[in-house]
This record gives sequence, structure tokens and C-alpha cells, in this order.
Amino acid sequence: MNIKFQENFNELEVLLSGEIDHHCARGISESIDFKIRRLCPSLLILDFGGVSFMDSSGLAVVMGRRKLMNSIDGSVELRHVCGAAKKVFEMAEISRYVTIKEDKI
Amino acid sequence: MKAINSVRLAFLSRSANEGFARVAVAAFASQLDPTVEEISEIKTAVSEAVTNCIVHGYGDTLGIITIRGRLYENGKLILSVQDRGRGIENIRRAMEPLFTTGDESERSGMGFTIMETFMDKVQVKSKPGIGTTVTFTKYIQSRQ
Ligand SMILES: Nc1ncnc2c1ncn2[C@@H]1O[C@H](COP(=O)(O)OP(=O)(O)OP(=O)(O)O)[C@@H](O)[C@H]1O
Ligand SMILES: [Mg+2]
Repeated sequence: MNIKFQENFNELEVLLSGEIDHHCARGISESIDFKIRRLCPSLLILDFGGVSFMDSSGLAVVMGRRKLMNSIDGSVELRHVCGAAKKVFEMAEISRYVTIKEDKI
Repeated sequence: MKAINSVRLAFLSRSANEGFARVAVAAFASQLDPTVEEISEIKTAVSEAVTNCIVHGYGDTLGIITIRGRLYENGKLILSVQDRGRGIENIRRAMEPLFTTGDESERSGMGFTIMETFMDKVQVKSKPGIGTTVTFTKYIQSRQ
């Protein structure tokens, strides 16, 4: 798992790549939370473009960051969600809680 | 029907082995020539079951997780994931969507729902204090 951050104005963009499972989920959450607390962005963008695997541990990563963003009146947007991660998000009806930006074809 | 191939995998309940378990099972299943989608479904279901053994079955302790795999000629794949940990008190309730006894900041109670969606059949045997065995059946479609 690899995480890259991009800060633009009041947006924090997180580029995730590799596999998201229980083994690495806590580390991902902690490093994103550290950035959120420091920058207090109004929008957190989680980019799943490079994610090759995700299980239910990824759901908690998203829902936990949404909770933290809510507490600072910010919101969360998911981008480039595809493959297996997409199905897992659909099962959990994650679109009820965060915005999913659909890919342009 | 007799299995045409079988494997048994035993490993310590360390989270670093989650990746090892799903890749090993995927390699075994690949003998049935599954699609990329089927492989990803198998990997996800295995990851859910193994994570449950580590998080809920063994918790703060370490134990052995055993995965058994069997392949059949008609494209049937049977996988079982077993721990000798805490066990499940009420299996029906445990399998309900969103039910979790875990830490809510890390678990969302969707594991069994994901396993049931991705596999053709999911069977759970468990006894408190003895352990849990989750058995999957998946039919790999022939692509000829
Ligand atoms: N191997 C196991 N040993 C003991 N209890 C288990 C085991 N597997 C599942 N459970 C119980 O069943 C519940 C539901 O499991 P499920 O995988 O659906 O959700 P979760 O693990 O709590 O959350 P998620 O999978 O979404 O991260 C668990 O919270 C736990 O109480
Ligand atoms: Mg689970």
C-alpha cells in the first residue's frame, strides 16, 4: 500500500495505491487523519485509481474519515472507484454517506 | 465426486499473512481458469474469512488458521477457513448485515454479506470456545 497526498486550497487529495486490507488499514487511517487534523480541509478526496484489492477493512477506512471530516464540517468524495472495490462499496451502500464521482468514459 | 486436486495451508494468525492467504488461494483456484472477476471475488471472500479469524477468533492471542481447498472436474471449488479461537455464539445474528462485535472504527459488519455475495454458498460452523469454520462453494464457469 502506498499513499500520496496533494493539497490544493481547502482540498486534501489522497492517492491510494496497492491493496487495502486489515493488515494496512489502520496505518492508512492514521496517516490520513494526521493530515486532516493539520490542514482542516473542507473536502477530502480519496482516489482509489491505484487500488488493486479492497475488502471490508476499506469500508471502515472511508466511514471513519467521513466521521472525522463531518466533525470539522467537511465532506468526503471518492474517485476512480473500480473493480472489486466498487462492488464492496455498492454492497455497503456507501453512496448514502459520501459522494462518488463517476469516471468519465 | 472425487476431487481432482486439493491443498491444505496452515499459518499463524498474523495480519501480514492475509495477503499471503488470498494470493495462495487465488493461485490454487487459477487451475480452473477463472475470469479476473472470479479471482477477485475469491480473494475478497478469503480475505474476509481470514481477517475474521485474526480479529474475532484469536483477538489478542495468536493461533493457527487452516485453509483447505478442493477442486472438482465440473469447475466446483470448495474452500474452508478454520480457526480454533473464540467461536460464535449466535451464527445467524453474526451473519446479518452490519452486525459486528468489533471495534466500530475498524469494522463495519459487512464481512459475511460480502462473502455471501461473492461465493455461491457460504456455510458457517462454530462453537464458543472451540472455533469457527467457514466453508465456501464457488462454481467457476467454463469458458470454452
Ligand atoms: N472466526 C470468527 N470467530 C469469532 N467470531 C467471528 C468470526 N467470524 C465472525 N465472527 C463474528 O461475526 C461478526 C460479523 O462478522 P463480519 O465479518 O460480517 O463483520 P465484522 O468482521 O464485524 O466487520 P467487517 O467484516 O465489515 O470488517 C463479527 O463481528 C464477530 O462477532
Ligand atoms: Mg469481518
